Amino acid sequence: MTTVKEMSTDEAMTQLSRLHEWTGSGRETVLGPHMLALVDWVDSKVVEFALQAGASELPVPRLIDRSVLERAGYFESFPATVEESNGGFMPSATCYHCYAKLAATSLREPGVWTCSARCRRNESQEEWGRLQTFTMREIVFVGSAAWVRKQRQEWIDRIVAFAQSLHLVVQLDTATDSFFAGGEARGRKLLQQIKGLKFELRAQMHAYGTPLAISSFNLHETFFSRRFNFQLADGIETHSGCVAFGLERWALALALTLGPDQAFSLVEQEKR
Amino acid sequence: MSDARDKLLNYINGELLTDPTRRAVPDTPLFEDGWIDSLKILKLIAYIELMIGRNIPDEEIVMKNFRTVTVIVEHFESK
Repeated sequence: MTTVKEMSTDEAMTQLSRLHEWTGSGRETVLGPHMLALVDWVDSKVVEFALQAGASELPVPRLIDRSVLERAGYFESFPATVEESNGGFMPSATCYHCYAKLAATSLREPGVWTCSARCRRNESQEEWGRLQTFTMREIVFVGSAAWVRKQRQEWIDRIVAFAQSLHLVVQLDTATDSFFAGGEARGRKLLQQIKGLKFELRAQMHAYGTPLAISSFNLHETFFSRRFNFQLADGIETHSGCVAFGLERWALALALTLGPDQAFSLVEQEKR
Repeated sequence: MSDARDKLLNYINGELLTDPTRRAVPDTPLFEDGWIDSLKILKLIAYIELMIGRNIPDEEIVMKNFRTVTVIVEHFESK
């Protein structure tokens, strides 16, 4: 059984650096083999949850086309996005890949999908865990408004319980950043806040300032179903929602909370 | 009906709701079915701030204080 580490968060961070398992910060962060294995372990657990919840796995390409992002209104939200190569972009969230796959489809029934992709954000804060390039696993659900809201609540309950079972000290907060930023950013943020469209699960790592967001639970209302023209065949207004996991952040939260040895042993226990 | 509730309803129906088929009553849920969008919420907050004579901090702008005109007036009159 996993027990909580006896070292402080500072000591855990120092040990992680000394082991070359988490070196540098922001753009330059490099993860060692044990941290990468821990990232994969967290991902495998999330995929298990997703498959149990009836999700289909969607393979996605490394980059996403400009046309998809334009359709999603992406450049209205993130105008400074850097093109990777000839019309290919690394998006700030994995779920755009999913909407591209669902585009112009008629769904016989509500559905759940999961995919994982490398993402990029221009993080301004030089804080542990805020990587510019990172791996995001997402679960996307599409259905009626009530069904999507129920799905989100079930995922909140499932993931909070999972985090607590790993001894992470977490809190669920209304998110302060807008999922769809843009010209009316404050209005959108306030609307999002009033409607409770976005919650973040934050892990407390006291020595390093504000708790780090490791997952988010989002409702998009009809934003993406309209933009990508996917709908339920029965004519009910089609809503979507998603749950996102910043996998490197989860691994860091585990390593700092449990201590590196205990965190890495989670992977080893799985192999036995 | 209180003066404040009348004033706020008149503002919402006269200035914010451009669709003539939509008319809010005191207990209309304002944030369902797209009645209030991201521009209208800024106008609504600015109007309430003028009514009450103070700025409203963002953390006070939550559903339990803004669900309907009745709720808004009760919340800000009690402050």
